[in-house]
Amino acid sequence: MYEQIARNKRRTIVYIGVFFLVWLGIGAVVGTLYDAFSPAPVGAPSTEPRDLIVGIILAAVLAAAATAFTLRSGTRLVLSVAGARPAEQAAYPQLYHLVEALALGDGLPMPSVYVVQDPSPNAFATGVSPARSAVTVTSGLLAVMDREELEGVLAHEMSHIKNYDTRLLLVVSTLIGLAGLLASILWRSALFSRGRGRSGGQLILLIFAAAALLSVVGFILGPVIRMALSRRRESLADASGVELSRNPAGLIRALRTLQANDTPLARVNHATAAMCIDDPLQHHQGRVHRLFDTHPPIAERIASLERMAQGLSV
Amino acid sequence: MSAVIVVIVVLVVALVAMAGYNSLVRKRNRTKEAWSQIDVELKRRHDLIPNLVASVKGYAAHESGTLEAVTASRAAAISAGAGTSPAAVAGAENALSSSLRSLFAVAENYPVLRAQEGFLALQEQLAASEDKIEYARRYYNTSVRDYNTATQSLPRALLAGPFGFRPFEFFETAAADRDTPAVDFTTSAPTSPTAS
Repeated sequence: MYEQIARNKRRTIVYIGVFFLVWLGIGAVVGTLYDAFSPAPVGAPSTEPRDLIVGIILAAVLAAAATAFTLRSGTRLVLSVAGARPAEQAAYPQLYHLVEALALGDGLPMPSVYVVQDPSPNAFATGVSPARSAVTVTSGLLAVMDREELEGVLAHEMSHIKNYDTRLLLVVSTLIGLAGLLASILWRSALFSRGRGRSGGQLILLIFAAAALLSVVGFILGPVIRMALSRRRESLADASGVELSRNPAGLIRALRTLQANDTPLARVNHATAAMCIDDPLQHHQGRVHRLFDTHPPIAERIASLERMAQGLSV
Repeated sequence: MSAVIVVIVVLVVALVAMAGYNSLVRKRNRTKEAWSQIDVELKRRHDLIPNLVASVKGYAAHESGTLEAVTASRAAAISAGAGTSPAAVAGAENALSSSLRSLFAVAENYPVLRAQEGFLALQEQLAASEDKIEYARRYYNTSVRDYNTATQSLPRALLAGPFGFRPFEFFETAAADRDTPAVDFTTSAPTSPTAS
């Protein structure tokens, strides 16, 4: 179990490292482009290395600032955007007690518990570390699930926290979001700065090129990476959630219930779409690791849980 | 030259021994902490029971046999908790769990009692406390398994003996604990956990 978590932490570092490299590469390309477009006096020494390094440094500073911000207040941001309210123990005794119990089972500090008033059943976990994490469920989930199903869902969410999936997704989503945000700022400024002399035309070309690159990262590459990550981790969280609750039946029944229920998330959808300027295509994949709307398909997940149930005789 | 080699070898052995010792200490502390978590949850449950007994008494006074069984098994569990043997604690607590189940089964017959908000809250708290004990137990057992394996496998087994790292006992539970309680009005006899 501990080896698994250690491996996950290492993988997180590798993914983030690769992402940073891509990000720095964009900085380098933008720097070189800037150099190519900027009018240099004839005979002056080449400024290419300088511009290239400036580009890389700018990219690194931006990425570092965004990551630092995420690690400091990403959890709070996600929760407030989703419209989550802290769940009092008195108002939601069952939910609160189950989270408490599951945290004991993992030997982790208890995460904060939040509820979103939304008829669509869903749940998500977020947080940069188990000590500063939160589990959120919708009121719709509480309405349709019995104790056993809820336990299965919450065990799955606890596993995301334990495996540090939530931190990885927070950081990666921030970087993707940053790329998308910059891209749209650049598009806009390119449109508005139209028609200001000859060098202005070249500047606009540069801005368009940078915006195109950032768009590729923000809108195509980023979401693909994120989806791949999240798909792997969903299956892992299913497995380790069942390892925690020792009761595959709870999660299986919960997944069946969710499969039958297709009410879209009103509030979270809207809010997440607004938040993720990066991601209008996959608007259902926010900065948070949400349980039920990522691949693999629910039927597949149920099937693999049933295989586990047969192997597991507890 | 050979003196340097000897020094290096001694240093390496010392470092390995230190790392092994530290990991044993870490695992032992984790296990002790896990045990104290169980302890906290058990005590919390003991504290809930007098309220429960009092509230049931008001509506179902003539179920005194069941009520007395709960009170008696609570007292037994508390005195077992004063000792340090996980096996004794587990036995007493399992008996308490099953007497509580009989009590809730009896309560099914009293709709007025079941309609009481206070009773429902107590029932939820006791169910939660069962859950928490169960999860804390699993975490404890996992920690014990890790720790015991470490003390018994080389090279740390060489350190475990001299430095007094004794293996810990598991906290066993009755096999039927996770099953849905069968509604049974006759028995309140504690089932003893199968020793292993």
